Amino acid sequence: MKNALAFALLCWASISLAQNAANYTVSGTITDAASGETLIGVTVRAENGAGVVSNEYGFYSLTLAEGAHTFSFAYLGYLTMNRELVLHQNQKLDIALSDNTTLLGEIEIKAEKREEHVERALMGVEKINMADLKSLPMLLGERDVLKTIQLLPGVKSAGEGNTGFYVRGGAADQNLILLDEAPVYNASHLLGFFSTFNADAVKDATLYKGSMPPQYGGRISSVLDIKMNDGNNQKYELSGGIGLISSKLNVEGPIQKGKGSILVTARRTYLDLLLLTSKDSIRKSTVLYFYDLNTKVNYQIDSRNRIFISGYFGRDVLRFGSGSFGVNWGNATATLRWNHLFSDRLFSNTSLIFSNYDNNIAIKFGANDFRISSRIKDYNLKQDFQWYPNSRNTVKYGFQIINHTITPSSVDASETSELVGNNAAQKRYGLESAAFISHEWQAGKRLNLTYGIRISDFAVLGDGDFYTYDADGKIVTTTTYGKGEVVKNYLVPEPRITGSLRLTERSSIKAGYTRNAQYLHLLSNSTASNPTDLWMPTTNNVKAEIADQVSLGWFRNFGTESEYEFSVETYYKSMLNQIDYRNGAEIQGNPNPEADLLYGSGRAYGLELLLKKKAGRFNGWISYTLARTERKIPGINNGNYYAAKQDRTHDLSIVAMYQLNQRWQLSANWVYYTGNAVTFPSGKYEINGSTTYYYTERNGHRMPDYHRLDLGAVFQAKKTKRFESEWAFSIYNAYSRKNAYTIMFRDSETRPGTTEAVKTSLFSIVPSVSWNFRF
Amino acid sequence: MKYFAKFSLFLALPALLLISCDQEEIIELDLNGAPAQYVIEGSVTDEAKPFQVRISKTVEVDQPNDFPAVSGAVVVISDDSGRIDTLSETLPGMYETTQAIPGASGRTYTLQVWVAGHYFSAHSTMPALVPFQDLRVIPLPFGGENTLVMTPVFTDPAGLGNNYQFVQSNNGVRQPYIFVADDRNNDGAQISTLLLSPDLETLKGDTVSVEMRNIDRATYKYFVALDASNGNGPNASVPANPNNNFEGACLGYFAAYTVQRKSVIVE
Repeated sequence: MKNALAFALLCWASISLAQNAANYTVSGTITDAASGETLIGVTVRAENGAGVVSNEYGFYSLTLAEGAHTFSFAYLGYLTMNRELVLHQNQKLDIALSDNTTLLGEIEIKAEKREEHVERALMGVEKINMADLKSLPMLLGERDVLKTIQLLPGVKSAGEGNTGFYVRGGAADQNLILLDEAPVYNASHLLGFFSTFNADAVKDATLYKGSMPPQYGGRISSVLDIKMNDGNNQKYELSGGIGLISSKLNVEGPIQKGKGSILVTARRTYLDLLLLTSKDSIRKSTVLYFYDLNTKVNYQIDSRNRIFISGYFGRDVLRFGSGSFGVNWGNATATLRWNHLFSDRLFSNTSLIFSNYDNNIAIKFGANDFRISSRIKDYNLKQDFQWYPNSRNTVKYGFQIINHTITPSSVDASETSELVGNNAAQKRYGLESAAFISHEWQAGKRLNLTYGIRISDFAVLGDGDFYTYDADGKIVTTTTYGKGEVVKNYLVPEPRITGSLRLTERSSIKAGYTRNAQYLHLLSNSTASNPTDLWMPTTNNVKAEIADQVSLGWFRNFGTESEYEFSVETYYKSMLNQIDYRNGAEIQGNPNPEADLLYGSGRAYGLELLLKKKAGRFNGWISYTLARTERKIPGINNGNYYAAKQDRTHDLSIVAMYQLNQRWQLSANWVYYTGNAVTFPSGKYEINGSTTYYYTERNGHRMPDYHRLDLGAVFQAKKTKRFESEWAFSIYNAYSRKNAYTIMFRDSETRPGTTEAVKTSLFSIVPSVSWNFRF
Repeated sequence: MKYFAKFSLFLALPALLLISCDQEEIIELDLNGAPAQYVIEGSVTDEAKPFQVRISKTVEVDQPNDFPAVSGAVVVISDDSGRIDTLSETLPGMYETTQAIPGASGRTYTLQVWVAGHYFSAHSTMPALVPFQDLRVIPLPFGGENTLVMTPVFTDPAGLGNNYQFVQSNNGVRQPYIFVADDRNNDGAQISTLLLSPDLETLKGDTVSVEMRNIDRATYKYFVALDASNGNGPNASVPANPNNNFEGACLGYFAAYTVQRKSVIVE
């Protein structure tokens, strides 16, 4: 905290030194002309090549020499706007860009001849195009950001139909998922099959696989930064969709035209209604659904101040046995943000964020009535400054403080419960703080550099009992700490640097180094996301996870309009203080889970190829990843390196979208990957009269290869100024490949006295249809 | 209270089944042959009967479940009061004590095995007996029909370190499920442990007997790990061989435990 303040002051002091008299600043906010939504990542460029990109609030600032300039504002899917301006004083220039489909009635997406892809010092960054998201086929027709990113190089799916993902060899919990700056702890519904992000409400999603800007931290593998729509500030609009398993409704409109807007988006699934058709009485009496509610209000107070209040609330509910067994879990986040312009060149955002994830199991039968619940709760203060001193430099700095409270499973029983008593587990407290600064520097005509540092700190706080363990996991000492006492402190400097060197007009090489630290760890023993998976803070025993990543890439654009982008990236990542369970660990109902943990290191390396056609009637991409991920943990696999469960050698995705005519848009994607590492038995024996399997090596075997084709089509049924509707069709797993979800071994029923390997596959061909409307 | 974790099984399984078509298919896999390992299963109880040790070997996964008995081993059980006995092979691979060494709480027993140039040994201490107070049948209203669950009741003595194992037999047939419990969540309390397993079906009219064992910590950990590595139970994990208390690399366990039984006819 003290560091953060000193740091901020230092940055403040440097501002006054950098003022330059002969230069003036043009700044403003870039929005969508029809809806008033701010646009993130718009390229603003002056005729002399000086440029900047609009920030996450649509703000840009560009400082140039006095005189006449021509500015272009370019954004994919929008018409580029050119403005001429004579600068003789600092000037405000707000820009409203038109979607090139709405204005011309033309469907084709035009890309401007832009070379950001090769130019900017950004590596391992993927921006998800929301238009792709709307046209790609999806399981049960649910459009999903988390499933779309799995089609990109370096991102692997956690399993069939699953929203969990692994980035460059990291584990699923090593991805920082932010929704309007609030961390989301469990980004999935229904054991991972659907994500918590209602795709209709998402404005922008950017995935950082490496070279994360220093304002992000807390997870070692990736950052997925998701921004919600702000809401239309021009007119009221109602839109929605009715699908096979869920319906969505979206209401948005101005509070005061052009100044502020409100947005409410809701989604609910009705999977349980389908169950009513089941003959099975257990299925029939089951209640199973989830819902999401997103709300957002924003208001422009004056030209220098804007506030946003947003909230997300989502929950899964599962009940069966006539209400005697119920479980529900979900996230709630609330964010208050304040954008303030200290000057035309200094943008500030202050965020106050609340984030909560909890899961509750309620059991009721006879006299027994009890609840098992666990929770993770954060209060988070984040301050960002973005300073644009001149056209060649951008400096971002700030600090963040998060107060974590983690409640592992606690039992709350009624007095009449004879089977179980109250059991309050010890809460754990932690204070995570960080200060960061980064400098984006156009160092030369061909060289761009972004470098910076994040200094993060985690204080393990009391009250509570803290233990030390011997090699077998037995408690050796117990120390009791009082409230707020510091048990242990971890300070990790996280330097980051990325550079791009332009070789020709349309090609460049880039290199980067990034360090990340992680202080919260998800203990999970399965691939399916389980709501009861335990989040564990760093303690005196569990150390901060640290990852160092170096990457190198070659970027090339080609085509007459630079509509093709090609890139090759390689990376090597080394990970410290990785956590795994001991053999035979007790995962649930364990009062001392730390006793069952082992610590070691990991390494991951790979090659990623991406060829993308981003414009034209036919567009899409081919992505290929060659990768290896290994861990080395004393006590597992005799202390030798072994393949991590997410290790997968080859991964290929082909995505194609084709605009057939004004009404039909077709899409297809095909994925192929070789099997994940898995442990199969190498022999069997008998214990207690049951067949038991004998294992030789951790993750020494491979699951079978996976491949799948999905097809989609969107039919524009009606389009007038007032009303728009479309039908979206998709076929998941079109050739009904029976991909292995699990492989289990059991005594054969057909050939008694032998063992059979049983492959379970989840989905064969799954067709779906949904209807979407807007008026 | 440990049993509550098993509820999550009931949670995860149906939810998966509900949205998927869940298709099974028998497949062929080539699982590399590994050298055969010795498997030793030995126990000492407080019952007045000979202690038994069974020695066998592993076979390859695609072979029939005929686990080769290991004959001709020298098997010795001794206790910490100096009693010692060399077991005799009563059936191929099955060794029994010849003279009555009493099994008593607090005593530490040692098993030693010499076979084909290998030597294995293990110790186990028989814990104090905790009285088995009651065996109840509890209907759990999960699913459409009530599920009948055996529930042994006992009072855990104050002080950590009591570990329990239960073996259920329905109509005289031993059920292949592992039930173990410890007192870390409910030390000194009256404990009712639900013997809950998703495949275990108890019907009205069944004669059900439950054997309660007081086991030592190593045995407890062995069975937790064994259950988990078979992909069962709340702790289902990446498969691995359970750690055991043997010196010398072999599979299996050696446990000294007390035995009490109760049975009911389910109404």
